[in-house]
Amino acid sequence: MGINTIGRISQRQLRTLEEALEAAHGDGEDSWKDEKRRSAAARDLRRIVRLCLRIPETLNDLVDSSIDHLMAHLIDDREETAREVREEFNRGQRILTRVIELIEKFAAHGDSIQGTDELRDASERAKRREAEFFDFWPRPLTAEEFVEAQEAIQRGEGIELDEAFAQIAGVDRETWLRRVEERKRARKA
Amino acid sequence: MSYRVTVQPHVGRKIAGWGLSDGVLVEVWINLREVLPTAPTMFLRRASEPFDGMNFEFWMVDPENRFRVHSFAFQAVYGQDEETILIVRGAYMRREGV
Repeated sequence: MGINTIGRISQRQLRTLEEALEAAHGDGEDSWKDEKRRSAAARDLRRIVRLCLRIPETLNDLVDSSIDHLMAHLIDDREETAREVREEFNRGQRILTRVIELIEKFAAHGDSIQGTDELRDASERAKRREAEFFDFWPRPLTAEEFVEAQEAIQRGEGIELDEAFAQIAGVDRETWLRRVEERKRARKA
Repeated sequence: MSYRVTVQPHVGRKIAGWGLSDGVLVEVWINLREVLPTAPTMFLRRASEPFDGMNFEFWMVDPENRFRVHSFAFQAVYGQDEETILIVRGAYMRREGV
């Protein structure tokens, strides 16, 4: 299984938005020469801006849901999910770019539509979330990394967990192990 | 049979950089030190063939803030001695209000 139910809903929302924008593009700027049409298109564009400002949230839902499913061991093919998530982030960026372009074209016809700054901010937020997701999401080891890991084991380079976590916590091993026992007792209480 | 789990030094440094509270850090230790070694075949999930990388993922609600969720994804390899598991990568994500 790749993308999950919430993922599919996010996917559908973004695809619908992108398709609608492509269709609007097909209508052409020629129709904007007519003032009534241009005015109606401008109002629609304001609504589209509002919809597009939700794109980072839609992508957040996709990220959260994908991670929840990973944690629940419900994802068989991590790489497929990663590809699908990447595709939706790319789609989100395409939509945001397209809407900013449309606003700029309207401006060239003398109509001011607010929202380019907010859309650019939405684009940046989505980029940051995408980077966080792919920093977290497991990717397969390369052949070189696998060989390197085997060699590290043979050289005895691995640090024992008691020692490693004591270092991380900035205490000695005995203090760390006491801390663990205290935590276990607190959990039981 | 219980495996011996170790971490590569760079993974230890990475965990240190996550800024985990003591409570969460102890839970990570428990998962790696006590949960994983007892039944690695149950907890480790095979990554892509043929490199035999394994994934160990778990999450927890923050002991001090139930609206905060900590998710961890570790990658490991078995040693050829079949007694050692080396953690070679670790990733962490903190999410609020999930």
